[in-house]
Amino acid sequence: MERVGVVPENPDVPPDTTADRVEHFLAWVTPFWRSANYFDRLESLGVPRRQRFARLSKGQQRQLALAIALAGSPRLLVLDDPTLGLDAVARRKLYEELIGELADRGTTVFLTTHDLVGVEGIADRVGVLHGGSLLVDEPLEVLKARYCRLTWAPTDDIPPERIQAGLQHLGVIGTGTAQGANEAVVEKFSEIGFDRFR
Amino acid sequence: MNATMAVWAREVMARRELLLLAVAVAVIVSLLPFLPGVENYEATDVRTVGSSAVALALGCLLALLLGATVFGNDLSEGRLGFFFARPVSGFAVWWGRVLAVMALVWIVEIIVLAPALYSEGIDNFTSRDEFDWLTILAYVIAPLLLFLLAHAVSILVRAGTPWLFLDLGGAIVVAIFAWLNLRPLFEIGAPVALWVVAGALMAALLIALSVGGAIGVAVGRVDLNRTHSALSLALWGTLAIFVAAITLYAGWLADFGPRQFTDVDVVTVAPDGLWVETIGQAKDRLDVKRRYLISTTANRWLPLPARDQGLENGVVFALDGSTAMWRGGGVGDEPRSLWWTDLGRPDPMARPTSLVVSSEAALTLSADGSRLAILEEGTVSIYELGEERLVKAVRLPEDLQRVAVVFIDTNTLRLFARPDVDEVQSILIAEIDVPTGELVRIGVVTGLEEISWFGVDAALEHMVVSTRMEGSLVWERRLHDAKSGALIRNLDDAGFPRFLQDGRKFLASQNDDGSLALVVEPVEGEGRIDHTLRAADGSRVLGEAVPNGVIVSHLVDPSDRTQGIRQALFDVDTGEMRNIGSHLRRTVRWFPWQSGVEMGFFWHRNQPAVSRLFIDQSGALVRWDPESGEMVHVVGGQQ
Repeated sequence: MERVGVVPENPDVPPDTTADRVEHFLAWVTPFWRSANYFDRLESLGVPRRQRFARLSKGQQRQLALAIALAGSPRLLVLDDPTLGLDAVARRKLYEELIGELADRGTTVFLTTHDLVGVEGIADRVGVLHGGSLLVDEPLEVLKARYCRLTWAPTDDIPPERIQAGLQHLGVIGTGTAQGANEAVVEKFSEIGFDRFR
Repeated sequence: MNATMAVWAREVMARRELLLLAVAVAVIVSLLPFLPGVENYEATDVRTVGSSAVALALGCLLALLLGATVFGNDLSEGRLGFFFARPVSGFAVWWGRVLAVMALVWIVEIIVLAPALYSEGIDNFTSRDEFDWLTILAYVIAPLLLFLLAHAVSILVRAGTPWLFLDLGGAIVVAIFAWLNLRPLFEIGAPVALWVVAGALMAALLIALSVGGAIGVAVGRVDLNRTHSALSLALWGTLAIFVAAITLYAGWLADFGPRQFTDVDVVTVAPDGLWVETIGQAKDRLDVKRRYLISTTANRWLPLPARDQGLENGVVFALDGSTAMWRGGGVGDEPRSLWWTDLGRPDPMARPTSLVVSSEAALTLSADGSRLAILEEGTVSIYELGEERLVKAVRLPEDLQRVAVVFIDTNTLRLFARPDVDEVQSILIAEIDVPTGELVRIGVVTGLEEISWFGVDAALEHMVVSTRMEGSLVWERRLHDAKSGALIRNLDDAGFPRFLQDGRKFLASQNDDGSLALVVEPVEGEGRIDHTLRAADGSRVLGEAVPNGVIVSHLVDPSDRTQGIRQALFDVDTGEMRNIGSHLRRTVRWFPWQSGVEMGFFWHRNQPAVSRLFIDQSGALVRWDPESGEMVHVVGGQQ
């Protein structure tokens, strides 16, 4: 755990402690602790150093937890739903500035989120968990290439069975209609397969 | 270690307000002498008592509260992850927090004790009688134990997993084993061993709780249920090992026989001298003593339960030596079952009966051992011993108190009683006819100012009463008929006369020149014999060992007491003295030569047998054999 930083969804810093006291403790037990980095981040974000953790706002608590995680010079940073409760501006700032900066330094960032749009711009690899099982685990580009939403106008010229067969071939996982058009989401999209469907 | 110290420092800082609380309490305690109602007491004493009590109470209360919350709250609210997300081991988290809490608690106790230490001075405070190792244990160990217990219970209750069944079962089993280990030592009356075993159990509990707590945190980490399971397994596993070892040790302490005796005490002796009730200690067994009925002639013995203090609780023998009876084990005022054995069998065995008596009941066997009389709460109950059948129960009149009972024959009981009225000094003599249950008053000794003791001869024909007449400061001895109580004559004996087995009166007294004057005379008629023993100061007559032969103990060298003492048999008729041994001491030291009912109300027809038993220099019990004149080793002695 020496080079691993963790920011849980609910920050677990002891409620009775302050940012200063946390620093005392962590500097003692964390081999690669950078106090200057820690205090600079707190100052830049306006997190008070002598106020008890329980009295900080939710956002300040998260920022403090993040500052703690980063000050340990982690090689792996684990973020549990870091954008929860953040507005769009703060979310973009987190993704583009922070994570981008860490990636440039070679720090691996492992984050969990429901914000798929947000991670699309920064993630190298994506996993999808459902019911405790890892359903998907592959590079983002591969994932984006595989999954596709098809839209077509309703027609009576083609029997529905043929359409269904074509969709099966593309690995359909869901169908529906939207604004008068038919839709289908497939997970095995390829140009050849699509031509065949067409 | 680094991480442990880091956790310790963090936890101490997080709870530093407790020290302020302690200061506030100390201030309040120092003001106690000014409270209304205590102004009559010494201010120093008030502060000492007040701060001592409050310090201990506050320390224990804090330990309980912190034990229940320090880990439990963080586990329940998911905050322990803060530590486990760092390079900090679970053991560091555990020990860091435990040491921090205990340091705070102990400092709080010292702060609250400060008013007492200041007003009385540290030297005076620590030199008080109450300040001993127990006090230190209470202030140091009690809070630690309470903290660990509260933590364990907190985890069990919060988690509420099925492991709770293991916890409940474990607690019950440990409690049972603790009881099984401690109760026998309590019954035996071995306080040192009791404290050692109790202390070992306490230490085992402390260690097990510490180990369980540490492993619970280290393995369970942030998962409450996993913490519970790890704690339970570690706690009960550790405790099981320790309790097993302590049980083996406690059992070993009390597991020794007469062959291992190093010190022997004789309690009672069978009238024929063939069996003795002994209590002995063995090497390395602390203060544990075992009680046995031991044969003085054969290599046999019977274990007896531990007994309470008091000669009335010893083994009771039939006059013919055929039967012995005793109370079963128990503590305090618990009723005891009765056990007996047939000493005439080649291999006597202890037999339980269905009879239960109080610890204060008096027991008497008939001469042939076939009947038992129990005197309890003013009622005499007579049983056929073999069948355990109640033959008759007789309620005694209220004026017959402090009663001694003896079988004249299997159908007749003689009672010697003292009324429980301070103004009236008398001895009431009565008989009970067992078949009819009729109580008949047959005699009384009365008209006396004060009676100090009385002795009866073996045939229950005559009695000597030591008394003081009204208005006189001089104690007199008087000879009475032991059946009617009638005065036969006043005795001019200055000492305490005894009865020989043949009924003659015997008196030993010291002359002015240090010699010993021995007088033997019939109760009535002629035949007085006087002897003077030129033995040195300190000579004593120990008892009648053989018919008309008394044991005399005297210094080997009158001018050098370090030479020790010598025992000799003195023939009261011929005056012949024969040495039988040296450097011996009496058994049953706490009462002198007894004649029948004497010094209160117990019966010793086994006096001659007692007189033939000694403890030699090695601490062994030896028996003087009149036929061979040899000292025969019975049991015990330093190996």
